[in-house]
Amino acid sequence: MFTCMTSSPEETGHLAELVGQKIREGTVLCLEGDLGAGKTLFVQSLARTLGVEGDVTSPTFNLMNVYEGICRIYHFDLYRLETEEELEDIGFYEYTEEPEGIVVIEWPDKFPESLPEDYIEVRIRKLGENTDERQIDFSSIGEKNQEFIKELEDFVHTGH
Amino acid sequence: MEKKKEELLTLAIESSCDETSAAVLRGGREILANIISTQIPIHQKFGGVVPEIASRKHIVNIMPVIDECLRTAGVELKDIDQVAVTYGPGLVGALLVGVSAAKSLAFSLGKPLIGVNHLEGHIFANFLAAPDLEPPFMALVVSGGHTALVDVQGYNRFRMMGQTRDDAAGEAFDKIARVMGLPYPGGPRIDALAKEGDPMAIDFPQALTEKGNYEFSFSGLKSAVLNYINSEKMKGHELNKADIAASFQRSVIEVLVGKAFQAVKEAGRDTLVLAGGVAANSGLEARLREEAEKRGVRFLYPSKILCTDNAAMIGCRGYYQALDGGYSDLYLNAVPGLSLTDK
Amino acid sequence: MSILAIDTATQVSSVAVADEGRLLAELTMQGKLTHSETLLPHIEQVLKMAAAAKEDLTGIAISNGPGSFTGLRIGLAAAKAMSYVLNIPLVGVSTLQALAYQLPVPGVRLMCLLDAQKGNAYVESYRWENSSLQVVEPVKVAKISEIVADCAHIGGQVILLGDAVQKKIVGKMELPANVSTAMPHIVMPRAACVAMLGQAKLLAGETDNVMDLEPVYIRRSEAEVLWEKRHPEAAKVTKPTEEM
Repeated sequence: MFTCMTSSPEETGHLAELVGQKIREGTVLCLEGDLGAGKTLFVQSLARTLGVEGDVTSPTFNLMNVYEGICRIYHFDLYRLETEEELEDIGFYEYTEEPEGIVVIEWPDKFPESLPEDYIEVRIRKLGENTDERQIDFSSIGEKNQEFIKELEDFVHTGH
Repeated sequence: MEKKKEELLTLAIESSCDETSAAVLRGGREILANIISTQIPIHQKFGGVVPEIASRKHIVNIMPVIDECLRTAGVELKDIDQVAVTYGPGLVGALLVGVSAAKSLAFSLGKPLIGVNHLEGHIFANFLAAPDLEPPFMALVVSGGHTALVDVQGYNRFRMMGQTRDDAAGEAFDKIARVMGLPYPGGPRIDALAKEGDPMAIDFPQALTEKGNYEFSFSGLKSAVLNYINSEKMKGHELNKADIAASFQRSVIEVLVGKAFQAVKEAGRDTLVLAGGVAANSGLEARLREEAEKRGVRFLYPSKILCTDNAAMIGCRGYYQALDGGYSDLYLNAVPGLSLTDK
Repeated sequence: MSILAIDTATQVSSVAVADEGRLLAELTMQGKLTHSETLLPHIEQVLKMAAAAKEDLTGIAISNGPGSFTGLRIGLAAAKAMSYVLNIPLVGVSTLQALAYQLPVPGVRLMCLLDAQKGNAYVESYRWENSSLQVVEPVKVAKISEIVADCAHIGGQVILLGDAVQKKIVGKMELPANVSTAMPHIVMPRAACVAMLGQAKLLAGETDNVMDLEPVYIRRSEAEVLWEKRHPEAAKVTKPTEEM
């Protein structure tokens, strides 16, 4: 696990770009953070890096957006869901259990037991109420992404 | 003998969100039937429990709604000339039911299929609400997931003046409502609460107010409101929710109204229409109407039914899209994140 | 009397046209999550392959679950609309039972497992007797590892079929000595099987109502799940051995 500090939305975006350059197909990325922390910004930057040209906005209403980049990106927002049944109903497990392309999940903490065995957790924390500063922690849950996190850490610290 | 275009019958299906709807239109403006699932006692007729979740509802509702629609319209399947269906944006599971049914209908009937953008449908609802309306005009689209200004130059020619960079107005309402402990859906709750509050109580920022900038950005406003609420809580002050709602709503409305009329002026339009579900915010409608009167601009806004998700607006959009050759093939897929673009 | 059969309950998308004595054409594809795009083009294609006009169809059979909710709805919506327009009967068949038609062989226990996520499967078991399919243990939801382990208590050979087998068992779990997994070409659902089962039902006059047919979801109710969470020891008690 490693941590990055950013002091502006641009820096957070740049960090997401670096992740986008390294991330592999078949990865699930869980984005945690409060309202206004910058999750959507992170996804936007990540998606652009992966060649997505169209709109990338938070699928709060649609629950899931799909973008075409160099691979497909499935963008979930679990904010609005209340029950496990709803999760199943949108085919969540089908997309996350054997992910094709890249899966990004906002508000994964709503259904901690429904997350796949392997994923990358990105936590964005606001360092105060009226500041742009963020603390961003990256960790790997499960075996599959351990190597990748180490690689990412090296890459980020040289590229930052 | 080929039918005249005004005689063409379009069967339209809409299942992008909570309600399943089917409609039959004659030409582009005449609604022969517009059936929405809540209107008909499907469960009384066929028994069973009402499913809670959208996609489940759609697979149960789809055929009764289509059947009722044809009955009400007094047309037979063989009379239908084309099938229009919403393919996005919306909930993917819900969209897929409508898209699959529509493709199958089109194939089985041997008739053309037209995939329609739900947001364009909202704009076209105004053609149904005001039969004399013709392009060009400016449209302010405010739905749950989208906020945009579109210069409708022709039935198939749109110029995007600007849309949201981040949170749509509707999402901002929803999230603020959530933080204030109001249940979903947030929009109407804030609207109601705002009536009791002082809109000038707190001065929240309005982003991107430079002239000529028609983009919207509500995430800054959302953050400002969140920060305000948090700092009040930390200070141990009790939240005046009505004032917060009123002030927040005022900020959103002022931006929407301001940009809408700037756009009207720049494009030289004499008509502004409001489109989309969030349009049901009473404060917004009132302010737009007020401002329109001041400026001598015609302001249009569809009736309650046409404002919510309904198939008639999809049929209307589909009809005009088809006149321009905008057909789809049987590979049509649901696109949950579909948005508005220049045409 | 030719019928159209559809199966979109898993990652396999399959359509077939069959008449009384023959499977005329079948198009089966296993790929990514793209049922929504290809089902109708495939239906069009398989009818061409069978040299059958849609107006000549006398019935539609749809694989109706359990399985992927999304896949099931895409298939069912298409089947319903077609049945409605062509005014021909529609029959829903169990995806699990259709799978058992892959191996209409006496003397073996067939266990069909369809992925129910989180390590679970929808499972039903069968035997073929006198060319007739007998349900031995009706459908339930259970942990895949437990289903496999329990097979050891079944006397005689057991063959496992279904997408859960391909996704979660082959190469991932050890099997008891009497258990084997079906080979790749028969482990997954096919519309040809749906056609056979569908025809049998249609001939017996069993049809469904196009207005209210729903997919078969079969879920472990939330109550069950909660109970098992609170009584983990009790939930693990081995089930009584099955009779032959």
